[in-house]
Amino acid sequence: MADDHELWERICSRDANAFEAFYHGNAARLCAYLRQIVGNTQAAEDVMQETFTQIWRSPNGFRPELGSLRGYLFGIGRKRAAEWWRKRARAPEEGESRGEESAEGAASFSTVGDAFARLAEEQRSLLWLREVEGQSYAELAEILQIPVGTVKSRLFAAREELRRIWHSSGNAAGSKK
Amino acid sequence: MNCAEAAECVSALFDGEAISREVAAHLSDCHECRIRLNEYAEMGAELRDMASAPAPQAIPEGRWRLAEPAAANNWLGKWRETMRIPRFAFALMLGVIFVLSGGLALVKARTGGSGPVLWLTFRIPPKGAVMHMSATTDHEAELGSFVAGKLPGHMWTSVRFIKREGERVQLAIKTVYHEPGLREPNGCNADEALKNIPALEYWLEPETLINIPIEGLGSMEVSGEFVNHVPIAQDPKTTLDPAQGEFRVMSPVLIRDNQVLLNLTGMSALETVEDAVMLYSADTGRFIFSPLPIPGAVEGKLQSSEISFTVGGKEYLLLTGAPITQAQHVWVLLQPDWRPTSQPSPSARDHRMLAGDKLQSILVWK
Repeated sequence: MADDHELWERICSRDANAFEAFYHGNAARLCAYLRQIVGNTQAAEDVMQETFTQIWRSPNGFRPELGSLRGYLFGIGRKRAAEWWRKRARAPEEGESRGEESAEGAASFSTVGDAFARLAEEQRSLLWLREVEGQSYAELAEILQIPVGTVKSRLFAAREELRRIWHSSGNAAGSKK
Repeated sequence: MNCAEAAECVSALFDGEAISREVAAHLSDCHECRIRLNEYAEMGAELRDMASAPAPQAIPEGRWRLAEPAAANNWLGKWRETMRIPRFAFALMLGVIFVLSGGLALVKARTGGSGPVLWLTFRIPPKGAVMHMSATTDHEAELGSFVAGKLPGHMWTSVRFIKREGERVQLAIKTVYHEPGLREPNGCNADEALKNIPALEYWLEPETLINIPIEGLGSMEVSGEFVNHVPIAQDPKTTLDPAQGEFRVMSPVLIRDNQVLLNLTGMSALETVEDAVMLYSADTGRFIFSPLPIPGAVEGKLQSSEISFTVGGKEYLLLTGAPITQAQHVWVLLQPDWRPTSQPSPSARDHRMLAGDKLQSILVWK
């Protein structure tokens, strides 16, 4: 937490080296997360770049007492991804449907990955942040702007939905040890 | 306990959360729940595998390097635009004011550089309350008007920037002070109060302060400096995050059902503990926002620089330029039929208002 605070202070004071380190330490992971939301690599990279650019241009809103700097970054990224979807919704002719992209993105996934790609965006986002990024309930609450108790119940719902889809594909039983 | 009751706790257990003795007892006896726990673990492991598989060969060059910091030019444009608009609105900003009176004078200002923005500081008698005002110095423009609150009487002032010559600038200022009870105040309408007051011209130069006598009030000190950008708030010391007890609305945009209802970009209302902020337009009536409960109000959802709320089945969203408060709750009262008692001048009739004051004071404003 103290490191986050120090790093944030350096970012706020326009320390480009500090921001470069912040970028290199988090860009790939943020991009992987955003890919789960927006459904394709190029869009994820664009949103990732927008996220870092936004923070560099206007560093504000991070509160160390509420969570980690990475959690804050992912929260901004999620909002940018939501904005990306809103723009897509206004100009659908520019791209494919979300479902197609998700399916396409899932083509190279494992069987759990296939099931994961069929989850709603919110559930994908939540599970990714928890299982892959290891965000705590408190950090998830901050990123997703929901109460901690809701994080718990939504995680359960997401896991159950993932499990249901996974089972329906017939893979779960075969993969059980 | 059955599996359905225990299931959510299995998820929590998997996340390392504590579970009750009862749930633990159920898990020890329940094969299905142990399978669920194992499958959660398996799914999590596969997701992590999936995350590591498509890792990019190299992190792309960060485009953030190409971005300038939030540019002063943007603020200049917005500020310049808004400063022309809201005479009447600014007139309702209680708690911050300034004033002048008298004839042609040479006012010298301290200068911190040769930037394009003139930053004015007014120290208002009798207690030396400070008010700031800024002006871009590349073209003639109305800077706005103010009414002083928390004074024995009422004081109104308007300022117009005329021109800049090197390090000095010329301003035209109207001001008037009414002793308590001298005249029934015209609500907070600066246009009305200053209607018959002549505009007097002043030159500001670097390195000097000037004291301006104000009849019935005392002497006001004026200083100024040139800076490179318009600060985010009226006080350059204003921080991005609100202090404990602060309640402030900066550059607000009010949205209803995804339509912009009221855009007051560039205007600010900064108040302290137990205060409230109101937004008004003739089309909408008045909205009062406060961290204190208001009779008849709805509770809004406060998120940093956003307040979302629902009134009459319509969804509203107030977006502001900086976090609003550290308070945990906010209440919103919509008074669609509220109108200022004293009618604005014709030119100001459609003006919008943004004002801050004590909640009880705002509630009884006429």
